[in-house]
This record gives sequence, structure tokens and C-alpha cells, in this order.
Amino acid sequence: MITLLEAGLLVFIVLSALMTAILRDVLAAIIVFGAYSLGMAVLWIVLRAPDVGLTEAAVGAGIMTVLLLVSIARTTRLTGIELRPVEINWGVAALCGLFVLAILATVPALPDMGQTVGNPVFGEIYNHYVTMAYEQTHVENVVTAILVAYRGFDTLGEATVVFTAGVAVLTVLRREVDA
Amino acid sequence: MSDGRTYVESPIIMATVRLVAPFVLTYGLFITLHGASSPGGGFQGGVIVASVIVMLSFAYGIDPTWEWLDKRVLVGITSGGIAVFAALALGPILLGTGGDFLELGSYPVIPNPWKYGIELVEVGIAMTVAGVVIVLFFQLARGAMPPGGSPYAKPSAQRVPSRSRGEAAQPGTESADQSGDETADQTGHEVSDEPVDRTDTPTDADSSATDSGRSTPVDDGSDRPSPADEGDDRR
Repeated sequence: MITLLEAGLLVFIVLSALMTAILRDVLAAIIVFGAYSLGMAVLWIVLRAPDVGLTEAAVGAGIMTVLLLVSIARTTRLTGIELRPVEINWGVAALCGLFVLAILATVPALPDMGQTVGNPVFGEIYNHYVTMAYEQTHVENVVTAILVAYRGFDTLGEATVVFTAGVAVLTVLRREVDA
Repeated sequence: MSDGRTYVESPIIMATVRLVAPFVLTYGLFITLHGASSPGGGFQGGVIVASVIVMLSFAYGIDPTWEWLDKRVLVGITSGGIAVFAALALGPILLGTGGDFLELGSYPVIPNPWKYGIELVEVGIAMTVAGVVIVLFFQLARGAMPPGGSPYAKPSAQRVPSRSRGEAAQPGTESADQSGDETADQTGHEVSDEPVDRTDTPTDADSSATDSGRSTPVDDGSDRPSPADEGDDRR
């Protein structure tokens, strides 16, 4: 069912996510957040989604951590609070816990990993992509084939979003400097 | 522009980056170009390529690396990537061969047009992503800070007690710590553009393997009277 590796990764991910939320020191929180992304990346690869894992490792654990670090680099840092938690509002924490439990309650209803019978993922579309993608596009990586060939509009939009968001953020940062 | 900024010049980091950077760059290009046959693609490859520049600026200082970069190339790859993608998407319509928007397979002459069309699209995506990440990094690291230091440098003394309200008491010690830190910053490793010249000789000796022209970025930056930087000077 669930292997020891997966269980260990899940515990690591949940713990690092909690640490990110409750650590008072922003620097420590950013570092723990990078560890969280790394755990997610490994989990994606264990779950046989290497494309997603690669993205998570490069963007989440790599560049995101660097961008967050340079963002706080010039703020002042309090000393001696490295591992101290924030004051937890237990009412809010209980509410969040309830919400998490409510979502977790739906997990048993999901089909098992790799289960083909009664799983909507493994339907007609799946069969079409897996059997036809190479024939139609001559690309071995079916994820790339879907991204660019079958869902080209989405990918063009995505690239445009990256470009537009970059230009917008840079414009704002420039104005901050000028002001 | 490096007033009050600490850049600790470390031979270990510089040697490591010199050694690792060509391989990371190659890996990023591989992820991009081989995205059609193995996991990866333009988004991942572009970020990995951009991380090479981030590594260089960690090793050689953010400002010298920014001066070394040609801003026209940055703008070129950022908008050029989107242009490549859009041109490839529009091509089948404009060529009049009966293809639809984004139907890469309808290109004539080229053998296997779907595969090579997809590869080119990945290259375009990688160019845009790499450009955006690089510029974002430098703008956050240096552009967002006016000359003379952080906008938070001055109000920090008043801010510290208010931020440490959870700790109940001793705001005095906090601000004392803070001022101590600041003076340390100013008297500490204050580095402008020169450290490069000094460090070049020792590191060259042991890193002959990576001694390509590309791996000595800062030399170019300091030799040149930074012509590319004029337009980017902060006011």
C-alpha cells in the first residue's frame, strides 16, 4: 500500500510545512520552506511524476528560495529567535485542524495508485494519448507531447503569463526605486 | 551601489562555482533540448540555466555580475522566446499550407516537423523563463534597494521593539544588538568592483579545467568602464 519511503517523505513534508508556518525567524522559515519543496520534489519522483518533480526542485527548492532570500536580505533580523515559534492562536489552529481532517476524510474515496478499473483518469483520453502520442508527434515524452502539441494554447498562454508577470513585477520594482 | 552591502569574497565558493557552472549550464540546456525525449522541458531548463547566473553572482558579487551581463541580451531572450513561440504558432497559417494555429506538424520541407517544432517551442519557453528569472533575481537583489542601502535601514531602530512585542520586554537589548550589527556591516568586508583582479591569479592556477572565456565574468566587467550600465543607473 504505502511504502516506508513514502510515509517518511510525507511526515517530513508535513513537519517542514508546519515549521514554515510557526517559526518566528523569517530566515529559518525560508530555509525550512526550501526543505519542504525538496521533500515534495522527491515525493513526485517516487510517485513517478519526474516532470513535476524536476519543476518542483528547480523552481520551488531552487529559485524560489533564492528569490525569498534576496527579498529579506536587507531587512533587519532579530537575533536569538532562530528556533522560537510564533504565538499560536489555538482557536485558529483547531479550525485549521478540523478543515484538514475534513479534507483527509475524502482521501479513502480516491482510487488507489495505478488502479485502472473505475478510475476516471484511465479512460478513453488516457488511452488515446498513450497509444497515439508517439505516432502523431514522434515525441517520446508524452508529457511534452501533451503540453506543446495537444495543449498548445495552454502552453502559449503559460509562457505569455510568465513574460507578462515578469514585466509587470519589474515595472513595479522600478517605480519603487524611483519614488 | 555596494554601500553597506556585504559581499564576502570566498575562494572556496568561487572555485566551486567555476567548476560547477559549466556542468549546470550544460544540464540546463540538456533538460531544455532533450525535453521531448526525457523528463524536462523549457520551464525547468530555463530555470536551471538562470540558476547559473545566480550562482555566478553569489560567487563574484551581485553588482559586478549585473554589470558584466549584457542587458540587450537579457531583453532579447526574454521577449525573443515568446516571439519564437508565437511565430511558430502563427507559421502554419501564414505559410498557407492549410495548417491551423499551432499545428506544428504542417510545416513543409522540414523532416519530422512535429518533433522539431516542439523542440523549438521548448527552446523559446526556456529563453523567456531564463530571462525573467535572471532579471527578477537582480531586481530583487539590487534594483529594489535605492543607493545608500536598504529602505529599512533607517526605520529599523524604531521597528525592532514593535516587532519583538511577543517577547515581552528588553527592547533595549534588541536595538543595541541591531546597531552593533550595522556597524559591523559597515566596517566589515566592504567590497566594490576590485576584488576580482586580486582573486583572479590564485584561482586560475587550480581551475584550469574550467578556464574558458565564459568562466571569468567579472574581469570583463571591471576592465570595461561599464558602458552597458549607463541606462540602468539608479537615480
